[in-house]
Amino acid sequence: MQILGLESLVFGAEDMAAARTYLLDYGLDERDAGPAGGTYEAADGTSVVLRHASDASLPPSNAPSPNLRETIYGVPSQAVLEEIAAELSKDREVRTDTEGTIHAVDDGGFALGFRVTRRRKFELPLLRFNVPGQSPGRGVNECAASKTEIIRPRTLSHVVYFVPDVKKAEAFYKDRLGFRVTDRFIGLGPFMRPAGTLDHHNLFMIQSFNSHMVGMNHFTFHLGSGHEVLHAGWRFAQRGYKSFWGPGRHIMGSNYFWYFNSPFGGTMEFDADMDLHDDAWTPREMLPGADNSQIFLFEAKDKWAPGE
Amino acid sequence: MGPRRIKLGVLADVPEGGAVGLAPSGNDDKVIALKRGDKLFLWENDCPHNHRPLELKRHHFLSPGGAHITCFAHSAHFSPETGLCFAGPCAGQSLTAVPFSVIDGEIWAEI
Ligand code: FES
Ligand SMILES: [Fe+2]
Repeated sequence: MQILGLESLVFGAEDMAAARTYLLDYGLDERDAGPAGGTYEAADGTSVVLRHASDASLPPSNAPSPNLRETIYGVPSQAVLEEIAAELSKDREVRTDTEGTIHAVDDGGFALGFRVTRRRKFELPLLRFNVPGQSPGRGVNECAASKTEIIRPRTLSHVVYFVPDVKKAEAFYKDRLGFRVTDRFIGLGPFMRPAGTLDHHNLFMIQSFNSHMVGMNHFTFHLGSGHEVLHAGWRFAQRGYKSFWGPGRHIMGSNYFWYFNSPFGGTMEFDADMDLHDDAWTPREMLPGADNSQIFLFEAKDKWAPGE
Repeated sequence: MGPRRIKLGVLADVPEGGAVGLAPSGNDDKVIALKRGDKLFLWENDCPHNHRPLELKRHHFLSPGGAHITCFAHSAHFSPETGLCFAGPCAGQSLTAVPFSVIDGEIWAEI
């Protein structure tokens, strides 16, 4: 089943104004904003959709609001959409909306949608690096550090759920939707990718150990590079947003990360440079904890210069 | 010798019904100050869940409408008056109170 990856995350917001400003400050483009909410897009059209938590058109909530209300995946064709609908309707309700998106609920209680992808090709300046021993990435006289650099989130990367039964949740995504396990934190849960992407994970699931570990833990878009994570995160912190964890680089997935507090019920991350895997990859298993959660970790500091 | 006192700010800077961060150190304001009906409350800006600062943005500590202190990492909710977490991952635990006195309109923490 060729699911390509995340297309859209739909949130039920309690503070629409703060959520909107947050997504604009994160670097997403606003579309269709109105009293009901808005759509906030990355360069390829993947998005966050904001609605009021009380919006009756949203799927029911599986966690206290604000929280994620639906995860929508993109597929390459109507044929794949029909394949998914046929598979899921074996044991659950599958609803098709007026735009052709199909909706169901997974085995962990998370609302799911699937639609023929609306991702678009985009062009952003090439990211290039000068590395001794390799041909120069940037042109001569081209400068990399710029206070006016424009950093665009490129595509929706991954979402992380707390699930009541991680084995059952893993089996659902593997057996019913063709996801692959790429790596695993022992006792916590699997990193998974749909068959239509090589990205290390679009979905990470964590076993819930108490009634408060529910709903979404965090989500993120891919930026272009580790540099972009540092620069975008730096600017975000300068606007007053509160760093939760980072900047650093994960081991599983190798993605650079920087997590910030958010108005979405979990944290929102800046992410870049994730590993790619295919079916030749053998999943690793690691014990959870600080040492296996990152290869390094830093914290932002005020700007400084010798003599000041 | 009595407790050591550190000046955190002036009472007039804490809005009635609102909240502000005080005692900046490194990247974070270490103290949350709130005024509720002329009473001042000071809490350590340290969530009992993951021991991280609570706010969404600088001085943005409250839930929409201002009724509760919210941790914007994983949505723990606290009473402004008692510091008790009544919903979220650290439910049943409390924020730590900062002992203080107000002298001539100035807020002094006692440490
Ligand atoms: S750190 Fe505050 S709720 Fe998790
Ligand atoms: Fe992540």
